[in-house]
Amino acid sequence: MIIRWFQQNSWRHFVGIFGTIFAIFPLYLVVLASFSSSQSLQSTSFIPTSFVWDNYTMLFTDPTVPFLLWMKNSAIIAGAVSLLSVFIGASSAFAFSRLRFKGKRVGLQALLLVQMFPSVLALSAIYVIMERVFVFAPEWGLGTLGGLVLVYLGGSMGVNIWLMKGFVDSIPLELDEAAKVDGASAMQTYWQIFVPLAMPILSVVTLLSFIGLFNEFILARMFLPESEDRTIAVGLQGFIGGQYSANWGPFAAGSLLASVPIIIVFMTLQRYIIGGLTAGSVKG
Amino acid sequence: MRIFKGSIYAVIAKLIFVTLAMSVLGYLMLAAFGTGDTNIAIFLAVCILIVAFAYLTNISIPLKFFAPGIMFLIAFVIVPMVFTLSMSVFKYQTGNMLSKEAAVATIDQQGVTSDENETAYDVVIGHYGEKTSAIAILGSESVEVEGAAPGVTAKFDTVLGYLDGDKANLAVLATDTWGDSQYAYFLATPTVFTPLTEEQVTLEEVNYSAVETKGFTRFTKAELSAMIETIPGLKFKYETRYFLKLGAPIKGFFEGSVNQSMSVYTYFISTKDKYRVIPATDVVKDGSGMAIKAKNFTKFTSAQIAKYSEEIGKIHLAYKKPAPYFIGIETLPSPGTNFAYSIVQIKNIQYDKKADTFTNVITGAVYKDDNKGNFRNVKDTKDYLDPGWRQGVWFENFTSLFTDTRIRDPLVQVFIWTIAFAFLTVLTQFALGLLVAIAMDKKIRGRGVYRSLMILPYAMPSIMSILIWGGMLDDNGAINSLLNLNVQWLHDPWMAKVSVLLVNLWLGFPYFYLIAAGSLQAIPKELAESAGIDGANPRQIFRLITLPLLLRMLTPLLIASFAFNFNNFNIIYLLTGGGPSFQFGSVAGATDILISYTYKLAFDTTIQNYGLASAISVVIFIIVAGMSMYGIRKSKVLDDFA
Repeated sequence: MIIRWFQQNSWRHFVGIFGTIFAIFPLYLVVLASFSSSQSLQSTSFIPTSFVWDNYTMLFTDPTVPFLLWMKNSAIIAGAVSLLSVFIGASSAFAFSRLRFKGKRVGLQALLLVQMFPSVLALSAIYVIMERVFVFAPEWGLGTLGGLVLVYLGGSMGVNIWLMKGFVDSIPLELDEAAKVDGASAMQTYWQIFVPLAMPILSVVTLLSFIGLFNEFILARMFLPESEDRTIAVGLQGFIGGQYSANWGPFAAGSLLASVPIIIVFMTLQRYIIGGLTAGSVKG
Repeated sequence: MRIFKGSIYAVIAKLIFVTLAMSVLGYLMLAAFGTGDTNIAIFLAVCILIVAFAYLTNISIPLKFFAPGIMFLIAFVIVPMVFTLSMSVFKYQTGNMLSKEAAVATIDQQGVTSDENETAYDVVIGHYGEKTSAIAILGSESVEVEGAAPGVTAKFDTVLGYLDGDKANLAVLATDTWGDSQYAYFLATPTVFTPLTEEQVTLEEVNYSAVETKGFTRFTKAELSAMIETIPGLKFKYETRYFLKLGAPIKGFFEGSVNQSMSVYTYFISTKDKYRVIPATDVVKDGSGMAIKAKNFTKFTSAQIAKYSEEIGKIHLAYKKPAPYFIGIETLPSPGTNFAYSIVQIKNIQYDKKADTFTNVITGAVYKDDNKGNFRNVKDTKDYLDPGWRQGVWFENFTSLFTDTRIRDPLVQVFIWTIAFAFLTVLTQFALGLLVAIAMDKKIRGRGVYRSLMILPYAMPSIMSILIWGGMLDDNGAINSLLNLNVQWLHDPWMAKVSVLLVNLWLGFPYFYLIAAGSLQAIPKELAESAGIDGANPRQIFRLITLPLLLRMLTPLLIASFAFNFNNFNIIYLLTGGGPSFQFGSVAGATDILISYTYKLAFDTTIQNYGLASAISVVIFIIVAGMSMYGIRKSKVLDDFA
């Protein structure tokens, strides 16, 4: 009886416990480091030896570490881009999914192809373009939040259109057709039938896009070198970027504070997000 | 009955949006035209036309949906992409960044060297005559002149000789015959002045002048007559600031007089075409004797200097020696001061437009366009002029990937690791994810807790987790200290590879767990049950039924994941930076994948080689696009759209 139970269930618990330990021990160590008074990730035991709030208070009081500004920048940039790109991209996704027109197949393939090009490599070209833009439109060029938003918008377009098209394909056609029979134009079908129906999907894509942008590092670092303009990812990396100036305590505290909202949203909406993942997206 | 009618609000909203978009684009277009960014201006103009065409006519319905997306895509993805890809057929690297015209202009501008004496002047910048465009400088040239030292009227009787038996070690022994000076006797070399007392010298009988002292040997008559020509040029030290010069010899004695050297100024005005020496009476001097105003010369105001600053920086003004000598202005006067700093230069590199060659007028070397982006010395091929330019080299960047061993060898290693990394990542992530999914594929106690905790790595922003892992795997990091190990997780070539895979497994296994769990649900239970009835054991059921079905369902995702990891820049760049390097100073490292290697080639080294990086990008692009197309075909996504 016991052997049978073991055969049936205990290995499952064994795998579960092993997987859980593997998954959470780095996170546990970060939590420890964030409350530790030492500046390294060099903990010598799993049991906390000290418990101080210094690392957290430093984030909010030290003027050289504008943590809240960084968070605000990240929130503004990722928020604006994810909302706008879904707003703009949704109509393209709708057209790819529902309209009939010449060159649709070619268009889709081209979109896929473009999306395959690693954007990291186009960095110098983007730099040159935005440097020029800065000359005639200083609000939207290199070194501005606005410029970064524009570049991100362009970059996220391909992925988001592709992703949303996958979702939209799963919305039944009958409703559109009914609307068409009732005399709706394509625009009306889009705004009055499609958008309300696709709202949950659009929200999920917005969220995925937000998380992806939150994680973006290379462009943000190149674009916004000034300390108070940085995004949270670039700002926090600065703590530990210097080879001899690793500052793990504040980094741990900061990355926890920055991650917690994202983790909460992700966990709450995981059912929807996972639906999106099977449609072929890979979270950055 | 029509349910859907064009609402008046929708029309108004559309009009407002379209007008707004067009006016913003139009404003930017005009601004871009204004600063000379014609390409961008034309692009914006085309955007305006597209907006007008899409939303103000009814010719193309799909365009109404595509227009905004397409514009962003073209501006920030397609244009940079085409630019990057097109750079692969250029020699485009540090030192070869400019266009040829710009490179010629720069070489021409920089092809100067200071004159032999490194002559420099402090000058006043202004204009000569009435026209402000006739830029000129008013300069003061100091000239050394010699004159009698003030207040020292004494003359000395001196004999010329040498010290310590070395005839090159000239010295004079001087006597104050008339008693005018505080020094009755002294010994002087060109650098050392030594007063002597009567006891230290031997006097001759006639004038009672000193002729001998310790270590001093007098030149003989014959020796003196051999060097008679040089004697008026000799200077011997007197006290600290003055010097002693010898006059004509009388009976073997020279009359020594005390002199000083002074600098006096001569003045000149120089324009582009003429160098004019002007008399001191025509200038107004400052306290130190330098000219600050002159006849026919008007000093520039600081506003004028600002206005002409670019021209001033480039101007070649005449020097007293003819071309290729000229005077160039190095730094502008700082506010509130009179003088700019200028130096005399020689234009040593001359461009011959017809022959398209540069010639060094000093050495005579001729530099020809080598068709590889540089002007190269015809006789000495190692010698070339900087800067070079972007030169189209067809497929040289691509062929060098295969033929140049310095490029090929690291590239092959990087390529192999890229494939291995992507493959092993997908394999390990999928294997662990599947294992967990199967284990959790039954309602066991605590499943919800396991699940929530295990997907935490996936919910956490990956950039944070990668950086955290980097800290933990450091030589002095938590892993080594907790486990009491001394493993170089990130600095040993093999351990670094293991670390990268381990971290990536941590990041990615929850994804495959979630995916596999969903797919397992989708496999009909009847299949396993009927196989069980037919006598298959659970292992057989898994191997022969569940796994093949799962793989079939998940192949597109596995391929997508492979493609994603093939270009997984963040984990490599942020965890190991691609390191450790193969050798000291080499760009590529043990954990570099193609994209991180390419990034480092283009941006992270001292010689940034965009051309080569672009060529590798093209290769990456083809590989990844090929894989994705294959994956898409497998999943038949495109087949729905005939």
